[in-house]
This record gives sequence, C-alpha cells and structure tokens, in this order.
Amino acid sequence: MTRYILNRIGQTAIVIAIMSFVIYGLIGLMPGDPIDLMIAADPKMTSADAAELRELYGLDKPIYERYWNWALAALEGDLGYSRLYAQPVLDVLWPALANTLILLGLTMFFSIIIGLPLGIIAALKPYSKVDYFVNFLAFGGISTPSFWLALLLIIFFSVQLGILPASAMVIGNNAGFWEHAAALALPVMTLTIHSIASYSRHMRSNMIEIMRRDYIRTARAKGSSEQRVVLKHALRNALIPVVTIFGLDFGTLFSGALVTETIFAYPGMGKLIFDSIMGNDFNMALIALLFATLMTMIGNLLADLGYGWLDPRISYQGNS
Amino acid sequence: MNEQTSMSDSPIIEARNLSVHFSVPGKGFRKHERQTVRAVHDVSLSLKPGKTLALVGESGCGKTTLVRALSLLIKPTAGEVHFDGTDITHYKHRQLRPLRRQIQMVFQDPYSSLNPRMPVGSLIAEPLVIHGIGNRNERRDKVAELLVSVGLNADIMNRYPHQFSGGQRQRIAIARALALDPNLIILDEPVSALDVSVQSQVLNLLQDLQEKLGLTYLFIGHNLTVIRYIADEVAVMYLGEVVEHAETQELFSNPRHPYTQALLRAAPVHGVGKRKHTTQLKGDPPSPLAPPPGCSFHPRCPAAQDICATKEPVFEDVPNHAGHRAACHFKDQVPT
Amino acid sequence: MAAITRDSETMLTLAWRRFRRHTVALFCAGVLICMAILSFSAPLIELLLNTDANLVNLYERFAGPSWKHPLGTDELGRDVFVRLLYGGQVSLMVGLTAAFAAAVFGTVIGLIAGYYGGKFDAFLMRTTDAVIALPLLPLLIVLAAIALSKLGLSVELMESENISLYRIIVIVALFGWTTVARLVRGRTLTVRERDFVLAARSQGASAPRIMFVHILPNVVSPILVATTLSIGNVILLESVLSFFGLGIQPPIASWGNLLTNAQELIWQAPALVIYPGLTIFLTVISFNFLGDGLQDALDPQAMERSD
Repeated sequence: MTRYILNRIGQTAIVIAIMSFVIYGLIGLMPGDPIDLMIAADPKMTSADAAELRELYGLDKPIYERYWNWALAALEGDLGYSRLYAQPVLDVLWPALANTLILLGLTMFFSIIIGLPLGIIAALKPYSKVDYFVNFLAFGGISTPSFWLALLLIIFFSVQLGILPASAMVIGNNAGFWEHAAALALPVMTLTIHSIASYSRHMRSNMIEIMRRDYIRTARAKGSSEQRVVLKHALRNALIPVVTIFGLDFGTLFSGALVTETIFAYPGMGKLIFDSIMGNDFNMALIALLFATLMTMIGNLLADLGYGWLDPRISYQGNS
Repeated sequence: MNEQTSMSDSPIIEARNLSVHFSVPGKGFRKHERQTVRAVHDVSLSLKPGKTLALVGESGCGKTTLVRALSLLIKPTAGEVHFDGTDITHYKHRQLRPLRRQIQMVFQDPYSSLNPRMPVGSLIAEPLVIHGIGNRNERRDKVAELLVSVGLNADIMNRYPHQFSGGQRQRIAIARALALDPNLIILDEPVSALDVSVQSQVLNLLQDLQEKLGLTYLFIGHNLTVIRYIADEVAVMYLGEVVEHAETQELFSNPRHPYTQALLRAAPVHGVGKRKHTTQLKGDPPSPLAPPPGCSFHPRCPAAQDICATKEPVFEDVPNHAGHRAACHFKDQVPT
Repeated sequence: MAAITRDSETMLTLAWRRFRRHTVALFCAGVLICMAILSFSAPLIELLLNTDANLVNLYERFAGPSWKHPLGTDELGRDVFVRLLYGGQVSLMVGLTAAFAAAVFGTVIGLIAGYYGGKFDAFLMRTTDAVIALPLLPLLIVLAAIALSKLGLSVELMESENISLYRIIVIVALFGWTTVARLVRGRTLTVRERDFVLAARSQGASAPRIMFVHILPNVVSPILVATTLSIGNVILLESVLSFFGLGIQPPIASWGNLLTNAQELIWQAPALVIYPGLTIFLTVISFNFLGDGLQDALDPQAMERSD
C-alpha cells in the first residue's frame, strides 16, 4: 500500500513539474510582456532602454533558462511578487485558498445531505414518478451553464426579492457573521445545485446496480426487513464509489468555483486565477494555476486511495 | 527428422524444432518474477501437398498456438518455419505478404470469424482487395463463383453474417479462404461449433474442394470420428509437444503412445474395436507453467516407469513402422 | 459489449426501433432539429420580420415583446430573437465542430493505442489520465487568453474575422479528445482479439487497414454516443468562455457573448439574461437526453437505465 501511495505521489509530482513548464510557457504567451507594459506607461523609453531592461530582468534569455531560474527560485520558496496585488504571491494566495475551501466545503456538505438521499430514494423506486423527477432534475442540473444559474439566482433573490446580496465583497472585511452567511448564500446555492445533480445521479445508479446484485437477494431471502437490507448492505457498498466522487469532483468544483466566484466577486482562488490571468499578472497566475492543478490532483489521489481503502476487494498488494 | 517419406513430394510447410514460449507475470506477490509458459515446445512436423494433416489434443495442449506460429501470426521463440523449402521464420511483414496468399485460415467460431459490420460479398472479397487483385466487377464475379463453389447462392452477397446459420457462415468463411487460390488452408476446429448434421455437410465440402483444387489441409480437431474421416495423417499433441505422429489408419489401429491410447479409449471410434480397458487417465492435466520433468505425460501414464520421470523420451520412429513416430520410452511395446 | 443481434433485420433498423421507444429522446431530437432549422434560416426570418440583427436603434432600447420584436430588444435596441438565432448558428456550429474534431482525434489515438498496445498505449493512458486530472476551466481560460501573435501565426489568419471561432474550436477540442480516446482504446482491445481481425491479419492486411476497415466500424456506436453527450459540454464551455469575453468575439454573436453584459443588465432587463441562457439550457439538455437515448438504442447492455 505504501508503495502505491509513493508511486502515485511520484506521478503527481511529475505531472505538476510538467504542468509547471507548460503553464509557464502558456503564460508567457499571454499578451503584455512586462516590459511592454512599462513602455506603455513611459513613452519616453527608447528601444535601447527596453532592451537594457529586458536584459536586466532576464527576459531576453530563452524560455528554458527562464523557466529553470523560476523553478529553482520557486523550490526555495520564493514564489514571486504579484503585480496586480502589489504583494508577495503567497500572501495573496493563502487567504484566497481559505475562502475557496470554505465555499467548497459548504457546497459539498449540502450536496451530500441533499443529493445522496435523493439518489437513494430514486433508486428505491425505479421508473416511478419520483425517479423520473430526480432524473430530470439531475439532467437539468448538469445542463445548466453555471454562470447563467448564478445570474438567475441573483435575479430572483437580489433583484426580485432583495433578500440576498449580489456581491460577496464583504468577505474578509470586518463584517459580521450574518453578513458573511448572506454573502455566501448565493454562491453556495449555485455550486450546490450542480453538485446535487451529479451526486444524486451517481448515487442512484450505484444503488440500482447494487440492489440488483445477488447478495441483496440473499439478504432478502434470509428474511431481513427491507429497511435493514437497504441500510446495512446496499448503502455501504453504494457509498464506496461516491466517496471517490468527492475527490474527483475537486477539479470540477474548482472550475465551477472560478465562474461563481467571479460573478459574485467572492475573493477566492477561482477569482484570483481569473483576475490574474485577465490582468496579466504572470507570477500570480502561474502560481495560482499550479495550485489549482495540485489541488485537483490531490483530490484524485485521495479518491483513489479512499476507494481502495473502503472496498475490501481491492488490494494494493496485488493478490490475484 | 525432416526426411521425406516414401510419398516424396516436398512438404509445403514445415516446422523444425519450433517452440513458442510466453512470458507471463507471476501471481500475487511475485508479480515481477516472470514465468514461462511452454505453449509449444520443440515441435517438428511437415505437411505434404494435397494431403490433410490433423492435429489432435485436449484444449490447452498448444494446437492453436502451433498453427498460429506456423502461419507466423505469432513469432516463434525458437526453431524454424519453412515454406516451400524456404526458411521464412524471420520474414518481415512485407516479405510475408505475398506468402499469405498461399496460406489461409478458417476459424472455429463462425460467429466471430466474420466481421459483423461487413456484408458477405465484402468479406469474401477482402483478401482480393488487400492484395489489389482485380477491379470491382472482377471481384464481384469471383465472389459469386466462390459462393457457388461452396454450395451457397451467389445473391447473398449483400446480406450480413448475422442473417445466416452457423453452417452457412462456415461456408462463407471457406469461400473467403479460397479467394486467393491458396495452396494450404489451416482449419482450426472448423466444425466443432456446428450441429452434428451440419458437420458432415461441411466436411464433405472440404473434401470435395481438396480433390478439385489440390488443397493441403492442416486440420485441428478434437473429435476423433471427424479426424478419422478427413485426415491422411494425424499428430497428437500433449502439453505443447507432439507425442505421436502417424498415418491415420496406422494411428487408430496401432497407437503407441499411452496418451493416444487413452484418447482412443475415451472416445471409441467406429471400427477400431472393442474397448479392452476402462482405465482412465489419472489426475488433471498439468499446467503448462510447470511441466513435469522427464516425459511430460508420466504423472498420468498408466504404464510409467522410473525412467519416465527422469529422462525425456525422443520423438522418433517406432521400430518396424516407418513413418510412425512417437515420444515414449516404450513405444516399441504393443499395448495389451 | 456490443450485442450482436440475430434478428432478420439489420442492426441499424433494430437500433432505430429501440430508439423510437424513447419518447423523450425523440422529442429532444425534434427540438434540436427545429432549433437548427430556425437558426440557419435566420436571414430568412430577418426578412420576414423586417428587422436586422445588427441594427442599432437607441430609441427602442429594452422594448418588450411585440409583433415586430418577438422577444423584445436589447440594450442597443437590437432585436433579441434574431440575435438569438444568429447566435444559435455559431454556438451550434462550434459545438458540433469541436465535438467532431475531438472525436476524430480521440478515435485515431484510441485505435492506435488499442491496436499496438505496448509502450505507446501505456504512454497514451498516462497522458489521458493526466489531462483528465487537470482543472479544466482555468486552463481553458489561459489558452483563450494567449496572444496569438506570440505563436507566430500569419498575420492574415489573425486578422480574419473568424479567428475567434477557429480558436475556440481548437481549444475546446484540445481537452475533449480524451474521453473518446479511452473509450475507443478499450473497445479496440476487445475487438482486436476477435477472430475476424486475426483472419484479416492472416490475409496480409496492413495495420491501418485493419484499424480503419475492420475495427473501426465495430467501435462506432460508443463513439457516437460519447460524441453526442460531449456536444452539450462543448456548448457549455464555449458559452462560459464567450461570456467572459474570451471566446467568440463580437460582432459575431453567440449565445454566450449575448450574456456578456448580462450582469449589468440584471437590474434593468432581466429578460435579456433569461433568453440566451434558456436557449443554452434547452439545447444542452436536449443533447444529453438524445445521447442517453442513443446509448440505450445502440448499446443496451452497457448501461441499463443509469447515467
């Protein structure tokens, strides 16, 4: 088991390393070389000055060299300075990360307590009205553009009803608990609706598949009450794949969070990524993207490990 | 080993000390220690033109692997394959291509040997297309001709395989095998999956075609009645090795290897005579991963002696019976 | 695995019969066809209604629905309905093209990996695993934000008015091929072992011939299903990117960029936000139901009434 973990960690590290190079290159392709920006700000600069500055900042070296220098510095802990926020990158990163984790945490929490039961109920009465309803809801949920959903919710709750704020700017400032809660409400709702769709579908199909299996029939034949059958046998097994979905969902949630945070002006990682890319803040964008990648991969890794740990049939020692 | 018999036509295809070994991962903790499966081991045989050689044995004995190696669909681990006198063992795909026209195959399962998404006409014409023979009309004519020659109606060309019965599909497969006018057709249990009544029809068709076209057949089977009916020579395989090889009549009336004797006893063939013993083979077939030392049959052999456990028998002529070879220390003794 | 039927009809007719039983899928197919017809007859409709999608008329801003403007006008007085139709042309076309491109690329890769196996296959699987593990949207945004000039593309290409279209198709397809590739690889591994493939090899068929003439027709149905299901996703991605101004650029209209100014408009004219989004929603959900129905029709044993 440890070997497997180490293996996976190794793989993750390799992918991160490769991605760091790829992203570094991509970011470099974004418009607005820092020197160009300086030139734009100072019309008196001549091209000779520009060339000098380029040399000074090492921007005239080939990409491999620049990347290598960056990588070395990064590994030592120097992640650079954010131009947009006028602070070291890490100082901006941590609070944003924390905010996003809060958002994602709340989302997952509500998705689970609503989504899983829905899936179970639908599975217990397949092809019934309830099932069709849940199915339709689920299809609807995954077919809705998240930004549109966000806007709809704003229209409904902020414009029409006026009970929730359309912007979450208050986060972090000295706002009280209820202000925070109100500001979080709409973003969480947006993300949750999507997640519920996904979880309920998965739960439903897992449950259906398991209920069909022989050992359930055996349990019923033994005379256990239906409820016991469901709770004790089916549920435990159906939950296993769902656990992994949490992990795999990390990537999706990050993407969803990006859109949602941007629309609601919620100061999290998603918005950070977006703003820094749009603002041509290379350092920030690079680190933020890598972080997002890292978190997604960790999510996948945890999902795999969780699956292996929970399902007694899988062994990482490779017994046949 | 490769001496021509009195039949004296040079063999179409020959295997010389052919071996095919697979390397498989170990079980459980030993996943990294690879083990060797001796699917085919040191096999030498040859096919005379215009004749039918049958390969018999239990499932897993290596017959399918052997024919795949003979047609170079699998790379042999050791030994040589000679075709028409030339050593083709190390030929590359491009060199093999023209040869493929002369060696065709018919497979066991009529349901999976025909591509379900291609109409019958295309299936049969496929070999022609691959080798760039003829234009569309010429090919169509040839396909019609082939269909008729296997006893089917030429206008089924546009139908799909799933619309036909097993026997019909095998006929289609045979027509396909004939498309390139091959010399040798390898038939891997071609009638085993068919109903008994249909089997004889297809067998008769095969014999007719052999006579008419001078085909050579390498026929794999496990039903001894069928083998007796269609084969000129029979080679018996056990655990990857050929343990006995003789002309059909000779093998059935005078088997010299205990395994052959057991096979014949277990499935009495019409005309061979009364069953004298009811002794069955002891034990289960061993795994090709760990063949027994000495003679690989000795653990199950009712006549095994000490020497059998230590010394591998040589595959050679039975004394006074030219052309009849067996791998047994006691092949010269007539069974009681 | 694919069911080989022994019915007297062809497999296609059988699949069609199964498909017909799915009322929802049929309905959605109908909806999509209508939408496509409407969108592509936008010029005709413009003529009928006597409007012009690009006609700015500041006196008629935010007008409500009327005979002249079935869905009202937007913030610049332009007719919403017709703009939606033109947007539909673009969004549908981009969706279908990108999904198709991803499918083609994925199929080729999957076939090669499945057929040859070995190192290439292992490498491919690692790559798809890695790509799947990446956070999609942030990376797409980076890709969309790239300055094409730095890539060294020709000037005339960059200034062509359709550049944003090509770009978005490439970007979206870049990530979409992995699902199809995995699917095709899996199926190829199975099909490769079937006797008819062996027969083709024994006849001397070259590897490309085997892959494309023999194996491919047998893996088509899952490709079709996966591609249909992916169109919805593609449309969603395009709309998000366009919404942020990174996808299709004005003056070309797409459903996504019709919503770019939506956040400001929420207070004044919420209807303008609802229409384009609703259209996206209906289209995507239709494709999803359609794909689901196709899956049941073509591959009934694969997924029984689940996802």
